[in-house]
Amino acid sequence: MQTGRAGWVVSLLALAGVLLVSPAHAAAGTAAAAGSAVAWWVWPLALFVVCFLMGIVAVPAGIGGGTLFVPIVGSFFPFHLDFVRGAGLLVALASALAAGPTLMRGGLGSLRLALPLSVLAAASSIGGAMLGLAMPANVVQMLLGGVVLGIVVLMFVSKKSEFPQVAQPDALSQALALNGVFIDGASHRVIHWQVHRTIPGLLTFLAIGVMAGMFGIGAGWANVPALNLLMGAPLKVSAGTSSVVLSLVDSSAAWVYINKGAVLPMIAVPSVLGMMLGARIGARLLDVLKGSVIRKMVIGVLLFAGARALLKGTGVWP
Amino acid sequence: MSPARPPEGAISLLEGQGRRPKGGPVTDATLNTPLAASTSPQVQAPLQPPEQRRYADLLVWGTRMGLVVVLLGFVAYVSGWVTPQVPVERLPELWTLPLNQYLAQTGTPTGWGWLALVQRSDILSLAGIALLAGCSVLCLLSLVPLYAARGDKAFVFVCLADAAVVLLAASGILTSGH
Repeated sequence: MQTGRAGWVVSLLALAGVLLVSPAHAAAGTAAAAGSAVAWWVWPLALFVVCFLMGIVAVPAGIGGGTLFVPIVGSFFPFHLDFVRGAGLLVALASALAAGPTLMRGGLGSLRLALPLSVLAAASSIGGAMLGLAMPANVVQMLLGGVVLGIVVLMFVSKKSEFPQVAQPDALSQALALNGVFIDGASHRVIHWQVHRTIPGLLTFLAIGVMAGMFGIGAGWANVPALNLLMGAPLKVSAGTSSVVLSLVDSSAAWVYINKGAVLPMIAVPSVLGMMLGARIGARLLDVLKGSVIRKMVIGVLLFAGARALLKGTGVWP
Repeated sequence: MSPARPPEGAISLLEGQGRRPKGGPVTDATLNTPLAASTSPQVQAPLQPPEQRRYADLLVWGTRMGLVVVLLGFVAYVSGWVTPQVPVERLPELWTLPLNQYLAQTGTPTGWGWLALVQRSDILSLAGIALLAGCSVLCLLSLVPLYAARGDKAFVFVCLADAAVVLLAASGILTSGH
């Protein structure tokens, strides 16, 4: 999205200012609500700051903010997991909506590739969201811990192929003309690409949709390897197209949470704003920060958050 | 690793990305057009297909509108300027509860019931969130005439199917009876 810098500064100031300066609510907040020793505004403010930091590291680490959000906020904030997952989906959705148009205009996000994959993934994300909301929180927490630890393993072992060789597109890929062209900014070369293994790709996205809806963690961590390593799209096109797919998949799953009443603006809005603002700064710091160091740090945080979610779900560390 | 070659059967004119050829075979001259440009460091960005540009343009506006409504509602909620459905002071005792208990204690409606309460500040913020979650539908439907005009029936169907899935999720039909 091309919202100007001034808009973001105003948003940030409005949020921080309203949270901190509003006298009536600050007074009420310091009186501390029943059952909580902490003023109500402390948590949204902390959420904004944490999401801002997550947004900064998410870009250089090459991972979606939504993947960090649910395990960390679900493990270390007092909110019920249902609301955290609802907010997590919105964080992933807002990030995808913000990045999608720029990526599509530059050819890094392919709408033609994204649309067929999105049909199945979005449909299955509805099922995943319904399943996640129907299951007991501790079971979802345990499964989430398992998935997050699985993501850590994937981040460790996953290989990447910048320009996979696709000698011959399969019949479905050819029929749907799943191909495109973009300019690689690093080499200034015009890159033509095409994909293969379309049916296995569609089935993979079916499974990815279930996880995205169930855990609210976005699915860029799974989309990119599926597009790049399985279907043979160039790495940059995979990352860009993943964003377009996510915007549709998370829209469907988010509606389930909205209809169920599981979206609390007080949790979702500071999260979305913090993450989007942090991601903008993270993108600018790409050249300054060492991606490999940040990636290791994120792996460490995810390892801890995944273990925490697992232990919380099993009741070992409630 | 070398870049992928132009796909077999695809017209490599930059505007024609993803378009299936209707005429005869693609000529070498056509295929070489973009590749020849790659030898120059001043390569111009490829013009993406019209449907992709239209989708991107509409998505920008949909996202902007959604974010504006979200922010307006949120500022009204936090400042206390507009009456909310759930007062902020009650949130710390409520956001720890499972969803069904939260709904019972706050009287927050499910499904599209929130639409009747959109004058409340927290629900206005939710309306903005709904705009964000729904803006893709209009973008998808706007592509149908473009694909139809080109005779690309497969993608007319894909766009309608994508829109139908989001609309099905939004309708609340599948989630009623919580």
